[in-house]
Amino acid sequence: MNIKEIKDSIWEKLHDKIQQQKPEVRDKKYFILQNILSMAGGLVFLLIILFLFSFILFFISRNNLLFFGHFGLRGWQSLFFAFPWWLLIVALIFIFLLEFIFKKYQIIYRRPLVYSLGIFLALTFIFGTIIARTSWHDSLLEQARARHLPVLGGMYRNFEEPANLHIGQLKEQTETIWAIQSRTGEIQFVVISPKTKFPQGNIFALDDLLLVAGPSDDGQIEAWGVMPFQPRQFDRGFGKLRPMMK
Amino acid sequence: MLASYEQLNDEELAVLTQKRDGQAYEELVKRYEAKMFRYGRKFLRNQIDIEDLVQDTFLKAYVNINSFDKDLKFSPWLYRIAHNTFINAIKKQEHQPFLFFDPDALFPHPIARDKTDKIINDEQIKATIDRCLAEIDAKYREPLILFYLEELSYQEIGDILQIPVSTVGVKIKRAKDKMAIILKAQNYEY
Repeated sequence: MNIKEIKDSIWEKLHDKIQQQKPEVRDKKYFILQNILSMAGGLVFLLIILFLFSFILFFISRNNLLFFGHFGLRGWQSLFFAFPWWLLIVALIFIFLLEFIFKKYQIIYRRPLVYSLGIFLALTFIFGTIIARTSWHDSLLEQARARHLPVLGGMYRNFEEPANLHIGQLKEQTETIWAIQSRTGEIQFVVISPKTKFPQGNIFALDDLLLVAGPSDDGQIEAWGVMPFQPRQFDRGFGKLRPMMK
Repeated sequence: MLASYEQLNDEELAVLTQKRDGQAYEELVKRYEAKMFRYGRKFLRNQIDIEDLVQDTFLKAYVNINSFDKDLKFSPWLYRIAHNTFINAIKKQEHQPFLFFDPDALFPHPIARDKTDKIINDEQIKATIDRCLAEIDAKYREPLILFYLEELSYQEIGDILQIPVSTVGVKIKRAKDKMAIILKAQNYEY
């Protein structure tokens, strides 16, 4: 059978197929519903992305991770290991899924993917930062601490104290051992060695708030960096530290 | 009665099909069956049963006719269905991995279109495409067929393949570069 003969018979075959199979012509409502579901799915993904991204920013701010940068290579290494990479990866996966959901729409596919990805990332960054600066995550953290947050509670509690970074009020000071009191009232001993870095000088008065970088073992911190700590407005958690300790 | 259907354009026929007018759809099938066979034959290189796939394309178009937007052109809509049907057939046959995104569509290609537009009317290219099609990757072969053989515009091809217009230009340019290499190897003047 050549192409011409196949062509000649296709309508008859198609017609027979339609008669036999009686395929149902999908109603317009089906496609409207499909679009609504796509949009709703995209919106859910968008909210998840915003939540994850704002949580990452909240986590960095709350735990003062950027202070690691003051303590040289070891500080940067600690920052790298303390950073919630898996959350970032999950957020990026959701951004790609969002792109995948929307790529059938002309407004997305008619432009290079890098543009729409860039726009998604920029919007995520802008709105994630705005959300991170509200008290929303703080209130969720409080609920998590009080065990009133069922699903996300564990995530908030697990992300609280990063390793190798400690904040406390200076209570006692000798040449090599300092005592600091943490937000929870716990006393920790800071071992000062010749290798300890003081990026902003090492003159401190009692009751000063300190940020100490170094591994902690059984209440004793081997300090490889100490600097004064000023709770900023953004660091709401530690903003509460000063009044509580006074 | 059929004579009046012949006077209607594709979009008007599609709207009538949406209203369950079987004769209107018959007219559409007759208008496009040769194009679909040619597209399938060139794109799939006779690897798969083209007749079944073309029937499948028209059946899917019939079932999904209500997703056609009467304000848009019918032809890219139908080619899009054919493209998906053919791609699925190739994937089944060759067990190709599923790609989330076309790497060529990732970045902008500002100059690709200008270079290709200069030779749109080069009949020599049309004549030599057949000679090389089998040796060109499917992802470059398809825009080449749609542009030179089906004579669709860049925008229409972009809508069928759901890629930016500039990426269409890049793919056609790459296909032509590949063709030049093939023809050179065959000692054929290009």
